Amino acid sequence: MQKSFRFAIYLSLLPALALFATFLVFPFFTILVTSFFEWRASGLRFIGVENYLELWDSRAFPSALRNTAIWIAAAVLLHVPLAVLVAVILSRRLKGWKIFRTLFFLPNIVSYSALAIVFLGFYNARYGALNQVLADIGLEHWQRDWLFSYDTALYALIFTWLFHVGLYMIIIMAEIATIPDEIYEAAVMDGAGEIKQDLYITLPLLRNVIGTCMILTVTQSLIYFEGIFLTTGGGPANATLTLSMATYRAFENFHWGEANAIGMHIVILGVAAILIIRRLFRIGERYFD
Amino acid sequence: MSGALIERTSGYHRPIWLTISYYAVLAWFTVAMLFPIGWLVLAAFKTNAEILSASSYFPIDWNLEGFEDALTEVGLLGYLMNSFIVSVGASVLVVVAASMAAYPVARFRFRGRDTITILLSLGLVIPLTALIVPETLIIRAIGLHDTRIGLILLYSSIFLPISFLLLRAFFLSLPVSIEEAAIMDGANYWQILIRIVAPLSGPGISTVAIMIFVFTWNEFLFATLILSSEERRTAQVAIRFFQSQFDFNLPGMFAAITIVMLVPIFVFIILQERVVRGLTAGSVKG
Repeated sequence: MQKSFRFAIYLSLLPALALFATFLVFPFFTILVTSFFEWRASGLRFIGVENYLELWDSRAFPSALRNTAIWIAAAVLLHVPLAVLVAVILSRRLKGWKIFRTLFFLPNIVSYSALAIVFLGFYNARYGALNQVLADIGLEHWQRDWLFSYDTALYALIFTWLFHVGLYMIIIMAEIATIPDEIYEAAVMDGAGEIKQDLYITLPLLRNVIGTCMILTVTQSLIYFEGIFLTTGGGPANATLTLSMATYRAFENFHWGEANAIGMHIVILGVAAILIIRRLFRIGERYFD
Repeated sequence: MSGALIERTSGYHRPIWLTISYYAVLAWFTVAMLFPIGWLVLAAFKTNAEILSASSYFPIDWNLEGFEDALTEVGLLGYLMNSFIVSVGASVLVVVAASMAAYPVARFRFRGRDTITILLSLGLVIPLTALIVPETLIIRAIGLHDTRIGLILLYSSIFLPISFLLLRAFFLSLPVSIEEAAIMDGANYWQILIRIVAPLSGPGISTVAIMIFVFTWNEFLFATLILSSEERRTAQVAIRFFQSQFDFNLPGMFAAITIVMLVPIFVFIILQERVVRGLTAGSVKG
């Protein structure tokens, strides 16, 4: 029976595989190979690891690495824990929990480019909402040009997405809903309050899904682009330059080999992060059929 | 499964301080998430002078000039139309291609099946910004630079892995008995896929299509790289030029942003339950 289907099955797979090969596999190997070439609009020339050496020697690249590291640290140490906090609270089915779930998910479906303009206005030194609030509560001396001061720019940008936990919140809430009631009933009989239940029952059982969210957030952090490009463009003085912003800059200046060498750093960091997180959270010991 | 937590907490009375803490956290998140966006939406109803004076959070009187400017001055309707064409095109193409691949992988045993699943799962975590040089050059090489078709093809590939994995999970959850009966009756592969599986898959396919619509609607980087001429700009690409186009017309710009934000929010609110279910179904299956 299946033999007669074989040709049809392979034909059926063809469009997806063609798209995948052309636009994901082929570009991936292209950047791997051409990161060892000097590649400008004029042509290709093999230069070995020189792109990499030049990067590590440049002043911008270490800033990009450092800023990306801070970005990822915020995602892993603050963003995902905040998502867990909200998911655990909403799973208690407080009055109005569905409304909060919807509200909290909404920012996730607003584009980063629209949010970039939202925050350009929000942080604006002259008319922005943040400085207005500070004035209203008597903290005028805290006012500043948040996005364009060297000390605050990176953190101001991180804040733009830090609380947008909607997607992870929903994924984690779905996982909490699968925990059997009996486990909690026993805890209630023993007199454990909700916080104890969450710390000793819910959290350990969320290990897998938290790890999954961490992987997603690290991958997202590594490729985040538009919110930086449309606001600070990596400035002031590389204060908000990340690896993806640096890739785009090199691309725009027609330093394609260099762009691809930066791209390879993104790929390698992404793979390393995924392997480390899978290890730490022992992901895959339960799912994956 | 759902509603379980209500039973969980029966026989247990939550102390009032805990209830207050819960709502305090929720209020904190509501402000942190919605205050900046809400501020911008309100500002769209103000006059320019009112915004610049930063005197109050709410408009003195709600004027719609910003929205008029947004719709008439910069060709926003055209950009929205472009976004719509690209998003619908990409959603349809990715759903067709991903279903055609996910169905046999979910149902039949054949050589290379597991390799395909693993490869496409890896595709999920390829950092796409790393690929901007080759993607742009490939699109140019096949003569699709500055075309909507080029962007549709690229989007279909970018969102293929996630669509494939979600649809595979969905097909795995469908009962096989009808298909088995059809095979006994001598139906061929395409008859089964088109006449039997496709009609049964409405919920799964539409979930994925809605998600891809929202993702592609919001995509900025590749749209910027591929579409260079003004008449093909998508709404997200247009945002990049709003600051110069609107010059010092802040209400106009904020109104345009509000309109661009509204489309996916609208789609989501109407179809919320379905999207939430789709997201969680995919996540649980890994």
